[in-house]
Amino acid sequence: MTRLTLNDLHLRHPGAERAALDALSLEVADGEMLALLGPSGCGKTTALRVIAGLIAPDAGEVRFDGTSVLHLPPERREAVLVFQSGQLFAHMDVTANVGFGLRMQRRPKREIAMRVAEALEQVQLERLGHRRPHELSGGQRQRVALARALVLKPGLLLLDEPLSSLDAHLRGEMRALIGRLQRETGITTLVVTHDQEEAAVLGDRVALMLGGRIHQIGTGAALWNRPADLEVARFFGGCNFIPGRSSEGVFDCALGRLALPEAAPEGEGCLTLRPEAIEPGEGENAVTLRVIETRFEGLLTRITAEGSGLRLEALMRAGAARGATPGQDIRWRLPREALWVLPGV
Amino acid sequence: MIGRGHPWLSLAPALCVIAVLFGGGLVLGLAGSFGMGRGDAGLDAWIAVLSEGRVWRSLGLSLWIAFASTALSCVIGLGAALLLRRRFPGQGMARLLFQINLTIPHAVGALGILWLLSQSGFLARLSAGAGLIDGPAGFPALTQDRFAIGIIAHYVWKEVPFIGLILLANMQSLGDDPESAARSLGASPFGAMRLVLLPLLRPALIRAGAIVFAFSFGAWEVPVLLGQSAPTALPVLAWQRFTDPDLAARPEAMAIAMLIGLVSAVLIRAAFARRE
Amino acid sequence: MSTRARVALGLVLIVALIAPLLPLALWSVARGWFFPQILPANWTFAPWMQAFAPRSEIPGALVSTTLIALAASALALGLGIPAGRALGLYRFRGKVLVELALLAPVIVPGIAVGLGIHGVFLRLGLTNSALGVVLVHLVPTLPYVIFVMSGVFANYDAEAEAQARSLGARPLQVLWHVMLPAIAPGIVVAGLFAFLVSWSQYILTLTIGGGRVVTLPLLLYAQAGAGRNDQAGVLAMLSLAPGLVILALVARQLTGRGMAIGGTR
Repeated sequence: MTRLTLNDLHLRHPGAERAALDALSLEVADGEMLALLGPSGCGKTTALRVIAGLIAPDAGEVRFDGTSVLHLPPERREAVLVFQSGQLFAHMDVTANVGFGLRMQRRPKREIAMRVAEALEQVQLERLGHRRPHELSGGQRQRVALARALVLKPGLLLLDEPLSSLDAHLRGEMRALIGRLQRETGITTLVVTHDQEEAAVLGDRVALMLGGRIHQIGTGAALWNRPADLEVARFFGGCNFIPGRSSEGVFDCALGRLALPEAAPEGEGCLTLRPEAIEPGEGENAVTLRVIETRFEGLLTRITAEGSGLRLEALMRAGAARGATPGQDIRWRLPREALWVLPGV
Repeated sequence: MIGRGHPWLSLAPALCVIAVLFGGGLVLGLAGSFGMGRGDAGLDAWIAVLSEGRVWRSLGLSLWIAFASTALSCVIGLGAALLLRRRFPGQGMARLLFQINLTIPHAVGALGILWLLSQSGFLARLSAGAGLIDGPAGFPALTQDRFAIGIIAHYVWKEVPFIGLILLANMQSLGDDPESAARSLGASPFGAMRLVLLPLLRPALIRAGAIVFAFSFGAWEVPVLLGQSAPTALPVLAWQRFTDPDLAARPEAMAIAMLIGLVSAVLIRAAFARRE
Repeated sequence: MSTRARVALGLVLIVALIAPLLPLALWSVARGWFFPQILPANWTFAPWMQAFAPRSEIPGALVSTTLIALAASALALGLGIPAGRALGLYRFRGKVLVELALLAPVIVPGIAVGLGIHGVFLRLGLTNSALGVVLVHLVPTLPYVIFVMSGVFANYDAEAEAQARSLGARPLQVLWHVMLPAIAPGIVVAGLFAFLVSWSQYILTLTIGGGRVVTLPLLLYAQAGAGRNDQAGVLAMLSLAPGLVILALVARQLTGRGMAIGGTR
């Protein structure tokens, strides 16, 4: 399979104000499934198209297994892009669609027929070979598009928002299928998504892209709980930011001295912790706050509380939130492992 | 007007007008071709028309004009659309001129073609100026000629933008993604165009082509100016019979007109029947 | 294809598209432009002066062509807007048939129905009259207006009307304050191109007008046939003018498709 390296890619679309790719660097290991996560307009689809060879970058390098592919047209790159809309060819039936790439390679008819049947079986559509794209459901179309790419046994599979056009109940199914096929085939895969949960579930690692560059790469949990900077924390719904100073495993701030987890960055900065990490009660890092507001949000209740001129938000299950009424003082524990420091903010 | 509308009520006035004018025209034309309202109703006019060599030669000429004009317009129109869809210096100008051409009345264009291509026309003068010919007779007969070159040239000139703009609009709504997907799956640029873009454009091209065919088959003002006197294009022949001082020729004129209508009707059916 | 090749081919295309207009324009400012002169020996505005001299037929033809085209496009709009609304907003049985019936007049050549319509109008006493010509011009213009307006209405959200009613607007107020502003650009485009289509008619005008109703295209051929190339040149330039003006007015809001259908035929 193929190792993908992006090196300092720059690209500005003609007439655009901001760069779509701004010093984008990224490495996807051989056989890895990397989720490229970012809000719409962050340049992630542009990045896929550059890798596929459909757009040339203004500057930078794209390497497959260490060799530059920038001079190669899309049809000669080891990468296949699966479009967000699937882009099935409306004038061909499912079999012809899936066999398209093999026909481009001028494979013998018998081999094409065999491999197409195999690919359709992989995506559980073996009976629908004669259907036209408009006779398929959204989920089926997406699976055909996936089979059409997999049948080519590409070194690198590029998936652009493969689940976004599907209903919620189909998403889980399709997500499982993509995950299973990727594990079975071991094809290096770069999947683009705007959905945090999808990225965390699909990707061996998640790369968060904001404003045309990668802000952080790591496991889903790492991005969630150990954000590299304020923007990353905000993207994942972080809302608690406490200014102060970190040194020798302790954070000094208006709330007092809080114990930090190992390897927390040192120096001036902001302490951050996710609202759902806060627990009611006593213990290490317990603080006293006054409840300002409680808001029922279904599964969880959002509680805003204030103390020493700072505001904290906590998300708690109904049982834990009981007893928190506006105007009342409460004790909250800020678990050491849930704390993280954003240096220099 | 509001809420659950009554589509037939809103359609009725327009449909009535079309029915009376267009439907009535067809029905009376047909009746006229059978000599109705003249006392001697019968198939005489049709028999006379269908057994007349001139009519068949005119039909052949009109079919030739329509086929050649449509084929050339489609091929060049497609080429022009492929050319104009990508950015290049002067593209805006070319697109604008492309559209200007569509607004020009056929009569004006036909006269322009006559003065451009005739043996004393602009091109002949340029050739003479370049020393290629001695006099008008040295310039090839491109108008009022046997092969209807002038007529075909006019239709191609006028219809290439029509086909081109329809295809451009279709390409715009298709976007680049179908071709990009094909490229990513291993198709060459030419392969992506031939196997993906062209098949996707085909329905639009067929319909636009049918409109061009019907028009170049049935228009009168172009062959009357640019065509030779015998055989004439079928519409010109119909008009000659219609304006013949001998009123007995009128049913024949109607029969020829119906023949023209029939050919276009068959075309509409063929090109527009499979609506998706 | 290289950019240079594109530019070259684009130039060829442009030259081919303008070429037939060149001799027309030259003749309108020429006197005695004989073979083998490439350009006229004498440049003069005399043809234009003559065209608008008291005894010229051209001003009259200009007025009648304009009035006929205005009347035909106004009628076509009046009939075509409701019909376009029905086709654009609603699905109903027989819709495909209606669309086909409306498409037929666009495609079936004028001469095929014109001769029969002459028979209809003869019985109604409408031949040789401007009114008859206006009515017969509905055959090509009305379907065009309906197709444009149905496209406009297909992109129009009729829910806005329900919203307006719920906010207290009476039906006529809804029509005036909600629907018309929303479809106004479409009406302008449809109207302008209906005008152009009528402006360019030849054989239907000749058939129904019987030579009594003289429009610019008819006069153009008459002058060219009489060897008055200078007058024909002026007429050709006059005939081009509204198309150019209209294109300049609406070029920005046109899609290629709408424009292509709006082409005169």
